[in-house]
Amino acid sequence: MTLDAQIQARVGGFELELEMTVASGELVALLGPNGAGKTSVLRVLAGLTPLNAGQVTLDGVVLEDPAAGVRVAAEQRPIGMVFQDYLLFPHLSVLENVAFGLRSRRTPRAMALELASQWLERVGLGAYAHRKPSSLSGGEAQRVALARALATSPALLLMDEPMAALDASTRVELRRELRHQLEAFEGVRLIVTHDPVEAMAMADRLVILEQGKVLQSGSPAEVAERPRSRYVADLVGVNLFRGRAHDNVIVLDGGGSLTVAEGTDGNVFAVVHPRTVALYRSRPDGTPRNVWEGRASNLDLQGDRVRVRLEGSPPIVAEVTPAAVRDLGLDRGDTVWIGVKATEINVYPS
Amino acid sequence: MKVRILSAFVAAALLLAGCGGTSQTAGPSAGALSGSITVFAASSLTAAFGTIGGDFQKAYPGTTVDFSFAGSSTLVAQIQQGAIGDIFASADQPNMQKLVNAGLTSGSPSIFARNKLQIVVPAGNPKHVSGLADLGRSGLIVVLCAPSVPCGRYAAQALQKANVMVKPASEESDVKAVLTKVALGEADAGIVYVTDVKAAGAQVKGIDIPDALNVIADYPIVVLKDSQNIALARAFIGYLHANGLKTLARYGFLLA
Amino acid sequence: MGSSSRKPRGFSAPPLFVVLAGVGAVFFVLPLAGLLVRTPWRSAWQLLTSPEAITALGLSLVASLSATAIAVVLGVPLAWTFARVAFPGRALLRALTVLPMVLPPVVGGVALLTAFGRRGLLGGWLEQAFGIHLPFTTAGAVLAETFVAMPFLVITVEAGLRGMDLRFEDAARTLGARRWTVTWRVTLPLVRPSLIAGAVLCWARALGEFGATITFAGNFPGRTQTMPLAVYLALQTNPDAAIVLSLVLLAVSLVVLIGLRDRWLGAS
Repeated sequence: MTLDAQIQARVGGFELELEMTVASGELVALLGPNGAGKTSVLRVLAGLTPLNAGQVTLDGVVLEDPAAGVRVAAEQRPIGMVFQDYLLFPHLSVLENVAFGLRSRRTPRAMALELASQWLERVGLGAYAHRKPSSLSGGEAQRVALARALATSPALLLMDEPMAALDASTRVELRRELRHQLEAFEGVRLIVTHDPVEAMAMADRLVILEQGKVLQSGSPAEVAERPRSRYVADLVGVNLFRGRAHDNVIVLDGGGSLTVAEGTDGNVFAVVHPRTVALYRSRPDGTPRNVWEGRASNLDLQGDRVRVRLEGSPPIVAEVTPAAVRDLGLDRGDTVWIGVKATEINVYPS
Repeated sequence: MKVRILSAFVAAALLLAGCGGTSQTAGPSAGALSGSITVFAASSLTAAFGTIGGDFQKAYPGTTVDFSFAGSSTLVAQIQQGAIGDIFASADQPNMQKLVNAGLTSGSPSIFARNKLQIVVPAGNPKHVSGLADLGRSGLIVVLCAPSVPCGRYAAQALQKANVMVKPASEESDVKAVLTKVALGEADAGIVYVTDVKAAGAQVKGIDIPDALNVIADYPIVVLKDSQNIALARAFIGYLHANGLKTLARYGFLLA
Repeated sequence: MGSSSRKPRGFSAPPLFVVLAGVGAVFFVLPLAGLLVRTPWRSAWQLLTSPEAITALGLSLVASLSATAIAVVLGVPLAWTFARVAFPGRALLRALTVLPMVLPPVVGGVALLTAFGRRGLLGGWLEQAFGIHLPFTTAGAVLAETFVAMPFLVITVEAGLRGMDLRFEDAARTLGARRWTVTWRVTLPLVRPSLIAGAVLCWARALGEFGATITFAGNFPGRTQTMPLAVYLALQTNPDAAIVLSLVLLAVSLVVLIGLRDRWLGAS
């Protein structure tokens, strides 16, 4: 079963333009900064927002095609959706919530309640059947929302930041559970998140969305290794540069240049891991091909590392030990020399 | 010297007032009256009293006469609850008697006009009503005054005399409301005073009720005990008896 | 510490406010107190159970409940349309719907005559085509009460619908619910408090309606003489009865308002 989507839509003054294909075997996470359009993509796939142009096909069935005049209404699509704040119906009990989809699709009441009861057991909340949603904790509500979405055996499961409303410890615990439930699901799964750890941990493939367009798509490892946007770079925690390469020298867009090991030509990305950046009190005389002066604008202690933000041409973030900072006597506003080996720079076409 | 000129002016003024207009023997001199009074009057007196009030104020400059028109029984209820006024003019004796019995009047009431009933129908008489007997016709929409209102009492008497059973569609709280419903065409017929029919002009048509079946309504008037300006009140009533009767007749009232 | 954020905070009002508030309170309490003091308690039961009083009360209940039922059937869809559908002229139509709330009721009665009276826009046709005659009938009284009371229901329900999180309807749709199911099983239950409050306010207003009723439906015991009309006429002939009937109406209104209090009037 595959979801094929070419989306061109206008959502509240915002243009969405992207293509994506998701097979039932892979769990895809849609990642991006706030306002990138992630929720809008889900709403389009769910049928809550119309396409301007393009096509959405699920399992060979065309769900929407404006050019051909086809539009399957949301209530007729075989989808299940878990919303950001779960949106459990407050006037119905937990059991009735889970049974809602079944009853709406004309399943007789007794059977619907029975099936709903089974789903509640599956998410470990069988005893909560007659409680009201307002009495549930965040984690419990999320599980009920999931059960509710899955109860109708949808072909496509859409989840909008299912962990966002939970606190950190609940999140860790539930991530495992969610994975477990999702693994058992046979349809196409698409999850939206802004939490990179979550994305990395759960997804088989990441789709990075920024300003309504797909910037990058690939496995978590691929994306981390070759980020194509500041957002991803920040996510992964690396330095990302763009520039024009000629042989071994890249002239950077933001000013400055880098000498790299591989010769290339054309527009490229260059990634430098902060831990490969060395700092010196005076101009070093050694092998690093890239040496320049910078000014420390911020020092951030993170665990047992210190991240030093440096202004210069180009600006860069270095990761050093606290001991090193002490030895160097490094403080904010201090001038230092920066050294990066050409062999440590990862270059790829942009 | 100054005093003499002043008194000459006063005398001249009095003389002029005495000669001008319809001001004749009965009323006090123009300069003596001042202030304002409120007259509670039955709604059937609306047009007539409006004119008489205007005439009175012209004859006695510096005075003000305000009117409050409503069904006589409504006015009685208001006065009993403490409404402040100077004169009460009722469309029937029983309502006047209620006030007298309650000790709220000053002096004895005097009858100043009479009225009689008339059937009123919309212009063109669409349902061809010709007399009281027709009012008992089924399917005819008849509107009457409520039994507690004078015109309702009178109508009931007339209908009884004519031996007609009427099932009214509505019992209005004052006679003007009956007139309005008929004028609007909502009702096919109603019983009001001849003065009301006259006042409504071309919007309605009046059907006479023969004197044998008709009821003569006596309109008494009295000064209220709590009046703040008894002199002016008495003057108005005097004026009414002396000069107002012509005006009343013009509006269709019968002479007392 | 208090648990509810709705608890009014401690006594810290400026003295002038307290005095003015006190005067305002007395202004409202005094008429009720006056009624209670002047009530002829000994004959009260007799007056209340007299045939005229019972007829008027019965008619009032029947008419006001009918008016409320009509208001619900017509008003909820209207409120829904105002809250959910943008159409040209919506603002104007909405203003017209609210108009009876601010219009003097007698004016409303006159307007009803021009529309539903025998020579009215619709009334004339209704009479000719179906023999339906509205003025001077109980149906006419119900119509008058509906006209003045329905806006209360429409306004309240519309506010509830506007305040509702629309995403609940989205959630229902993704679960496969069609339009009617969404409205019936999700939207309306979610605005139930507004529905109830609106219906109750509507009923209370219909119960107390006078001006439009007496102008459009007229006054006849058993047919169109509702409680307020009975009070008005009783005032002329039997003030004691008027006071007792007034007390009944006042008590009913008080019970309604106290029942609704903070939950639906204001604080919610």
